[in-house]
Amino acid sequence: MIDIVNVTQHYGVRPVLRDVNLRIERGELVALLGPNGMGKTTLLAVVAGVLAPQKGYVEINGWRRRRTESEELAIRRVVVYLPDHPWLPKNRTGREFLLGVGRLYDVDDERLMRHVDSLLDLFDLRTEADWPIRSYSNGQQHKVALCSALVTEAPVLLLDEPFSGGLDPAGILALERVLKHLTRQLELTVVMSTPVPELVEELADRVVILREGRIAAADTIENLRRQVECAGPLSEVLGRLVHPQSVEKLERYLEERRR
Amino acid sequence: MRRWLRVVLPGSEVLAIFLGVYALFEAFYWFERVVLGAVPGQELTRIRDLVVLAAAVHYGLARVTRFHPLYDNSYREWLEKTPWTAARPLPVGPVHLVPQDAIVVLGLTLMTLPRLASHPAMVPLGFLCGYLAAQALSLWPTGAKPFAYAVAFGLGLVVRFWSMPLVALGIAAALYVPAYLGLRHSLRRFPWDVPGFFRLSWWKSLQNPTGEHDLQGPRQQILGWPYDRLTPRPDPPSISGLDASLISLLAGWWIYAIAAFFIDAAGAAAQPQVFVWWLVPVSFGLLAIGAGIRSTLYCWAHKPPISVWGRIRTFRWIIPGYDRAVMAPAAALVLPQVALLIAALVLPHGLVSPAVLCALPVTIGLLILLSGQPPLRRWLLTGQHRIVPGYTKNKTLPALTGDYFDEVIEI
Repeated sequence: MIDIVNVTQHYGVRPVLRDVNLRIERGELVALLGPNGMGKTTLLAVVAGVLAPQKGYVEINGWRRRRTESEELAIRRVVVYLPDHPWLPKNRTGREFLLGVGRLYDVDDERLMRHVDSLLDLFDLRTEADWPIRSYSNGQQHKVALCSALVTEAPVLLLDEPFSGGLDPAGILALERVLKHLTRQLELTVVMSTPVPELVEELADRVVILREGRIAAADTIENLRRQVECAGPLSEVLGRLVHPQSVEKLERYLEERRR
Repeated sequence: MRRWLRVVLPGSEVLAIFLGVYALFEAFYWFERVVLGAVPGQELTRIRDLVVLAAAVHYGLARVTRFHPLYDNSYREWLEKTPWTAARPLPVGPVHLVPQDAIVVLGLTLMTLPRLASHPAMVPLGFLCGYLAAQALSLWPTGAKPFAYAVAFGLGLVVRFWSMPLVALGIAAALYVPAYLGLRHSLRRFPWDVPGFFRLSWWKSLQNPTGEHDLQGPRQQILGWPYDRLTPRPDPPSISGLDASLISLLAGWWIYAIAAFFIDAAGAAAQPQVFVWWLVPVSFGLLAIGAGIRSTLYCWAHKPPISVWGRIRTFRWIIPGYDRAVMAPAAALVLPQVALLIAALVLPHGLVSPAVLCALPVTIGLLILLSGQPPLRRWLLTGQHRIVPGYTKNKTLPALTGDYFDEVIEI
């Protein structure tokens, strides 16, 4: 379980997150949605422990981030964070990298090797598995980074824009299915951000919409639709929640053009 | 005889270079004397003796670094896989002194005897100093710290009495006892939990510039961002309070010994201050470097939570959760100066030796740098910082992760 309590974060003068409160239950897949610059990545980074918020705190399974060494280590053992631009060891092969990451999270060796093989197979990287990562395309690098998060078998996954970065349709499908399986069958907690709402429509148990550093809405997609009285696609729901004036302006403009 | 000696002799290239340089000096001397008919000055002989002294020091260092498993990763790793115990001799050769060493050192000493320009005890003294220094360094990480400190403190005494070569030689010879006992002690504790410093890739690449180690897979490697910074197994360098205190005292003791040596060398008539006060700025320079290293260890890839502009504008000029990381380096630069000033102003003139005043800032500053709060591990895990990758896109630098790659690959 993840508890985000009164989190305020600013890098300079302008607050990027303002008094954010959120509770994410075990086995939930939560998608952070919102336009660029609204604080999705910052919120994930705070939960991941990359940022120390100016106010508030984050608790994971009852351990508070950065309070004591033992609590922080306990959290690090159960949480894996994948930023939108991870930097991979370019001179290592994909397989070596995945084995290294799995080892870092104390995954049993035999289990790890089997898991690495199946992940490489799943993401169509079997041929490139023993090539240095520098020879991978952007999409393949993104895939191997995703595999690295999955290979840890950590119960909490924090993924920043996992569906971007040149992922091909097969990769998107594979990731969708894997995430679904992890949350529904294995009760892993997944928090992911994405600027594209359609990708999570089928996937997310709950959607958190950020607007100017605050949580504009946090609910299931159905409830959000009811809230804004919109039966259209999730992007429209998002638009109504984040920029209600813009939607009204757009409708007014289109109405005028029709006349 | 050659085979018997070869056990300890350095490589033939090193030997050839040394003999060539020595022969060159001798040839110059005899050319000047026989062909030109002049009486050469002592300078040429002094330089020749310096060359021999350097060879003796090098031989002393090499006697440990060539044969001690600590300094050769491949050797140590191989030895770990064999049933070797300390009751058996080391397969590559002995680290303790053997009769062959006496022959080599005697030979070097004899090379300085024609036209004696320096004390004949200097060559064995140089050899023992090199040997003991390397021993002290190898005893520390191999589970024989008390012996390492005993030898290191003793070497300071050797420096203190450097102007009396026979006394210094006697002290150095006596120091062989703790060095030998420490060596036996450390070998009994093999295999060692070798510090990360000796496992770093660059250390391996120094030993093996051809890069063959890459084929075996270096133990220390990076996993890239963010695994290197958010690792659940952080292994930053750490030092106990006792070690910090002893190392600080040791550094101070060495500075004292060097300063006292210069005072002795200057003689009673000279103003000792002239010869020793240059050590004070040198000491502060070294402390500044130490403060820089500590700050880098703490703040590299761990930035302030908000920008400088943000601090100014939000009136959060001091962020205790972050700024505590730079308190110790700042104190290490300021407090020794204060202590020195107080000692110089308050204590009656002549009561404290200038050599002690030179040592004081080093001891205080180093103690603060090594044991100042917060410890690095606590800071990395609980500091109020913003973690960043810490390297640019095209560069990858070693990180504080453990050894993961080869262990898995070896399955």
